[in-house]
Amino acid sequence: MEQSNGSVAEAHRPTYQPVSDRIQSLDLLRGVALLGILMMNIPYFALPDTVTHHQLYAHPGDVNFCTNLVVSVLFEGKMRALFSLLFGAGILLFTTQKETASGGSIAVADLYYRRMLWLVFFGVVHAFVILWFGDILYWYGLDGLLLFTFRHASPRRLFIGAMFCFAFLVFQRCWDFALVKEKRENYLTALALEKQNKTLTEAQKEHKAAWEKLEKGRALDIQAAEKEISVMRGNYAQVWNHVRPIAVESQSSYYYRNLWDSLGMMLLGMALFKWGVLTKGSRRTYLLLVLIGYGIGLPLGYWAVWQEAAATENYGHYLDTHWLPPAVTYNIRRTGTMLGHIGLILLLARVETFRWLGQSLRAVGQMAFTNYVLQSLICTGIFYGYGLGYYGRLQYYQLMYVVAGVGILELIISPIWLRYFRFGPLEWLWRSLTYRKLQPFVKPLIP
Amino acid sequence: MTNLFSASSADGTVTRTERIPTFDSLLGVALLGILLVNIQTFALPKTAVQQLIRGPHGGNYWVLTLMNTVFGNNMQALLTMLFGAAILLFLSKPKRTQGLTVPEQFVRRQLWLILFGLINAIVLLWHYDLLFPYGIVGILLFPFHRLSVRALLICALVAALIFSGKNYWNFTEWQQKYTKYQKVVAVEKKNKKNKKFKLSDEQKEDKSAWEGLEKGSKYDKKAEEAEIKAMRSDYAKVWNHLLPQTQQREASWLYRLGLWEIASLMLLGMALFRWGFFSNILSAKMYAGVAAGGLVVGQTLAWLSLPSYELQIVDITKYVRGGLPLYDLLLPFQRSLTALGWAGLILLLYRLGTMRWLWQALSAVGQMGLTNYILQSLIGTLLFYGYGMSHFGSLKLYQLYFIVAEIWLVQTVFSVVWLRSFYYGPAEWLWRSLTYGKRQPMRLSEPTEETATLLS
Repeated sequence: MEQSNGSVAEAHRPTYQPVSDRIQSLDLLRGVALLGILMMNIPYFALPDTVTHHQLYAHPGDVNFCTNLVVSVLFEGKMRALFSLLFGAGILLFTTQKETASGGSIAVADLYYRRMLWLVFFGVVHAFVILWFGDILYWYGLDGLLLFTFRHASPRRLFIGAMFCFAFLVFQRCWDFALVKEKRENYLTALALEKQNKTLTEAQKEHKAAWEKLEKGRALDIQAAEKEISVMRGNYAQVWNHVRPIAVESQSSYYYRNLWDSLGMMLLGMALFKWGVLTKGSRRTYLLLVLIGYGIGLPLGYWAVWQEAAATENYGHYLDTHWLPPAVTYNIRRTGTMLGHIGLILLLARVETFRWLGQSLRAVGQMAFTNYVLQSLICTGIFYGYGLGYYGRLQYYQLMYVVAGVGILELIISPIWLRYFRFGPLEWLWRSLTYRKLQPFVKPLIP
Repeated sequence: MTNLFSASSADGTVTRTERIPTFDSLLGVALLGILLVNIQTFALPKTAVQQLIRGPHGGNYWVLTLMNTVFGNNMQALLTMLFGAAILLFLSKPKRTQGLTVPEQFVRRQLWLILFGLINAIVLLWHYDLLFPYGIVGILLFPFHRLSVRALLICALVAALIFSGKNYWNFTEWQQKYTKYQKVVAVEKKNKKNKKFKLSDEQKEDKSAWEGLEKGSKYDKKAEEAEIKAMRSDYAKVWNHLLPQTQQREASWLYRLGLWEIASLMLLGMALFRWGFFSNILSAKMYAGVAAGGLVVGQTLAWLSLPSYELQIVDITKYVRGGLPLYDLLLPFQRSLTALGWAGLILLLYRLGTMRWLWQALSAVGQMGLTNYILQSLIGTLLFYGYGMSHFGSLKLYQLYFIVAEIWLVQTVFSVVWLRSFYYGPAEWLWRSLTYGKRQPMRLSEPTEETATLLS
């Protein structure tokens, strides 16, 4: 693009963004979100799904359940939401800065789309080479491709768009729930007939089998878990073979069904950024966010954990007695809690006592891409067979120690790195690829 | 070519005068052409079509093979190439000074196309819809719009190779399944007399994995009858029956294969557009060369790989044991080359200057491409699905081509007549209005913005 739009102004425009230009509150929030995200991801790195679910919900009152209660109410979905929110805000930040700098909109679109396409590519590498099958870079890149054209929309419209996405998710969940309920009802009819000693038709037999299969799929399956553990403790090729279909599913069907989750939050992030909530809210605004957000989000979150526990204990009974899934309130409760977090973090950022922590968190947020991939490298290194092979060895609550360890490590190395370099290594690579030109990397030492 | 764009209106929208007539005629041919294959899906269960290949080879088999090898898939390939070219056509509009910028309009246009595709697939129930993947791949290809002809061609080749590679990978996975199965069978044979011998769970899994694959490739009369019954039911049942297929196609297929297939063809189309191929500016010799080369090489590859394609349907075991899966490997090349050949031939015929009326009619069909595409879904579903006239599974393959001829006639007449009174087809009008966020003039008697600004 430099050649075709090669005006003098453009040629002299610095292609890197001076560090002082960064919006500190966004970096801070991103740092928190990034550290929080590992808390949600780590069970997938370390345990078979069926084991995780069992540990989280099967024994109310034990240490795993209580850990999960805290994590679920405060963090589950909220950190991902915050991350998506900030990505949405980042879209605006990137495009408006470039637009005012160059004035050429086609140049912005070129840069932007190249940037997103590289992100998609990084996502593929992350999922299929580093083997983190829960990668979000791929989704975010694709979301970004769709969101470009909404960057000039009014915050109100963006907000409405976000609500539409969430409404669609609710509809989807209710639909799925209704389908499961139908299965259950068919099963009960078949069962009743069987009790009256009537022979079942082919269809009724199928109904019965379908429900039994579903119920079995929800129960703890030790055999399957053991098999999965042995595979995940295998060598790279074995792990790769096991992980690949999961990653494919995640990047195709799962994304196809669930893109509304990240898309909605990004739209919300764009709206909030335009309203100034993320960058220049007053103390009153943040206080309100904390009160209202937590007021709505925390009680609903607490309620949802117990709902899930009840559903785990006896799914059939749960279906018989409930008309709607707890997922109906999912986005209300997580958006509430997340906004509460935003308010709280930005309030605390103004307190002098937390200055040092704030600085470290900002550094983590500034290198979010690097730190995100670093988490995958560390966790696959600890848990997968070609690393230390701790897969299936730790319990859920013990995983939180690992999270804390990784978090502290990142809080320490990020500020140190940024003392010597302008960007995190992956951020630098990404920028260089986007601009098709090596970006300045090492910081000049200022005496 | 520049004069084609000189009459652009102030806001940069392409008005009717700027259209490239050859491009529209090609589009018309491709649009009518895809029906040759699509009609099979509208009207018959897949298993019934495959049964023609398995069965004793009668007239229907030859109709099928000729249609699919010579025209069918290649027309869809041509359509995809033209869509790629249309991306560049759209982006080459002059820059706007105010309001939405060209890239923004482009993304909006694609987003609306995605929505049209979803409606076409999920409401009109044409589960082989192309608009949805076109919309998505079009956005993905935006960063490639500045590349040179050469770079575009290289990208197209790389995408085609990835497509082939993925197909080949799939084939090796089948091979692995088969080898594992053979091992288990050998062990079973060895221990035939040993009554205590039991297969381990893993061995059982290995065995059933291949057996499942083999069974899935065999003709199942019951399944076919069930499908016909489902497709002849009311709307809700057909919807339920097709939804998983639609989702599978829009999610898994697009992710695994469709993306590469479509991207490769679109990139090729972009390269051809940049070269000037579609604008009728190359020498007649060049078009003749492309036509001859494309058709000869493409068709040679196609007929060479036909046995491999049929073997996969007839006897999957033999297919897996045999050497290379020629069809899967050569597919992107035989398709794009044949499509290219057809395009060259059509443009050459266009040059001859005879049968003006036919080219004009085809150009009308192409100008209303989106409308006609959706119209095909409407006609096809209403003729064959249960909530329409419910002819699904009741016709012989060759009979379908009488219907195709009728649909062609209807669409051509409709397009010509419609464009006598209107600027655009109804779907095009809607698409443009949505893209620009403003109602576009529709009737020819209405002034376009261009003339409106001149008058004021």
